[in-house]
Amino acid sequence: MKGKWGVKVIVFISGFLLSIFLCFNAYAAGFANPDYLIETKDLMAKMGQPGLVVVDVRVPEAYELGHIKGAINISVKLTQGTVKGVKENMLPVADLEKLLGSKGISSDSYVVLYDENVQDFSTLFFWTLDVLGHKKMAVLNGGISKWAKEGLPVGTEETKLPPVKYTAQFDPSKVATLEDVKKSLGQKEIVLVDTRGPKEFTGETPGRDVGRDGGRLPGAVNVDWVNHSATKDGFKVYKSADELTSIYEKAKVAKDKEVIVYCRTGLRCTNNYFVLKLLGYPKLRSYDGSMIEWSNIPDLPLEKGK
Amino acid sequence: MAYVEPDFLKTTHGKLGCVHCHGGNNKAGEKEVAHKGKKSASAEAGRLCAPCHGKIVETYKTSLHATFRGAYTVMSQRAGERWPAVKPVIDKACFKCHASCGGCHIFREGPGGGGLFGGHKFFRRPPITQSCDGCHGGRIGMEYFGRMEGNEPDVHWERRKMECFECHRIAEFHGDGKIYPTRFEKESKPSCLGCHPDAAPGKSKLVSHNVHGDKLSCYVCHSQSYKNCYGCHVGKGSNSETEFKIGKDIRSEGKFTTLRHVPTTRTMIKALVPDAMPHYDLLPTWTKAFPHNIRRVTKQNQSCNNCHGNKDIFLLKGSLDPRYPKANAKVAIEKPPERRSQ
Repeated sequence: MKGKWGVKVIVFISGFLLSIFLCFNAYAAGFANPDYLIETKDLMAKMGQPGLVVVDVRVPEAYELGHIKGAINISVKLTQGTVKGVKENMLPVADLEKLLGSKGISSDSYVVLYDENVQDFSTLFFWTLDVLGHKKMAVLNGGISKWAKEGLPVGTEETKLPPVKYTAQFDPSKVATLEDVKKSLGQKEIVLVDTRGPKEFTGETPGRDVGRDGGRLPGAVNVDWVNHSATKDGFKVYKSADELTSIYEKAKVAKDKEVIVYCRTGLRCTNNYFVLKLLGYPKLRSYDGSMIEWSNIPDLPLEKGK
Repeated sequence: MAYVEPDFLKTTHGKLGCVHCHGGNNKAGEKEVAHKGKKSASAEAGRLCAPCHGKIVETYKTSLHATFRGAYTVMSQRAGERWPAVKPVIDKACFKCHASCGGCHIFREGPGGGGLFGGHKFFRRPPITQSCDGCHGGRIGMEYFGRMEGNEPDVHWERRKMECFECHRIAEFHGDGKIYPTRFEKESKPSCLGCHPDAAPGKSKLVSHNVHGDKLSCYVCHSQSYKNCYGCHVGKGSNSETEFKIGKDIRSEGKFTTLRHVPTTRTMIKALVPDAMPHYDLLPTWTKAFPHNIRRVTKQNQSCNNCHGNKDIFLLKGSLDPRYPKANAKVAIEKPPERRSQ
């Protein structure tokens, strides 16, 4: 009798512990590609490991105010320029190779990117690396704001790494060009995701440099990028896999479709690109030219209203 | 619209003629000659306006719009012995918006977009969507007129189209002859209870007013989320977040109020004045906020536990950002009030 109770207690405790383990793992396990998002405590545990490069992608003024101790600074603005007359576009691959190499990043580096919290600057850098064929990279959940508020080491001294050679494996399948977007119109297998605010989506407030009084790409669905994050325990972080999945299910963005994300300049939409990447969408592209390119070309169709 | 509306010339100010205020030569046939001796009317507003509006010009010299003393008070405390070097930078950067009579009554100041309100006419009552919104539109106007994505307009604007002057009385703009260190010490300032005396603690029909009234500012329950700014004013590192933070009002014996983060940083103006703020840690950057986005019903007042036990809307000592002043601990709290059983 005593032995049976002992077995029951062991089974109960094992089951209880297993359920706790599963519960805690559910958050990370919900993402198809969980390695692209790193938590502050996990990054802290990895600090100092060979090959790890932590990149503060904010402007130097923000980096100077306080950054993760040991992080280098590469403002994401340095990866952008006016390309073929369209401003704020990704620089040519050769320029990016030169930039990354000069800052001490090689194609084998494990790059952790962060901005103030969960903004679009780190995800623009993430998309840029993805286009360059970089494999080992992650975005810090909660950014410097969460890191600093948790009392983790913050420094003000600049960190510099010795220059190395960066060799890109350019992957055009991650980029949607103007021609790609033109061809995608009306295609059932392609979903266009407009990641701007609802008023920009309808054309009510077009935004700076958007031509023809704004509007959207015909047939696009609206998933405002700001809905990806929430304040949890006082920190602004990405929502859980279930919450993010639900956002895209409601917008009818199916995983078996090819998805092209766009916004006004190609910045905000990279946050959607990143989230969809986390969720495991296999065919993803970002339209870097976005509305400041499309809307300023006469005769290209625009849709307005709800 | 013509630059100067013909109708303006029929008004009292218009009849004075251009040269009276702007100088130059109105008899000349060529622009270069006509503009010789041209002067800025704004810079001489005191001399030009005083003959008829002497009392206002006199008190205006003491108003916060004219003196910008609120910023002086705060920045001089942060700068301490470095203030003589810092003051010229503040003057140069900030006085663009804080100068003249015309900036409220005739035209929009340059940083707010510039331009005449209406054909050079003098507006006794400034058109708020152009004048006040020109300088205060980045935050106050955004909130009040409902331009912030996800927020409703302030109920005072939405329902009654109340203009700024309904709450901020004339003495606030024209001054009352006294020099106040900041806006908080002014004698004339808006009061919710002035129009809503029935909401006063102990006098209200609502239990929540009677229970909370002497412990919370009205904003805690009746504001929507509002803008907080981080990073510095001058550099490129600034950013803003739409948040809602409750903390302590150090001017009111620790009463709970809404706090707003101001973007002053330790390294601000460093390029111009090294070590500009040796006493940066003395003053909090979370300061008492007056969000202009009031609604009767907000997410806070829908349920006790939207505030009680909610760590996300309180400024907590355990989650202060070390990049900002140590004095922020003075306005933060240890933990939210206990959750209520409902």
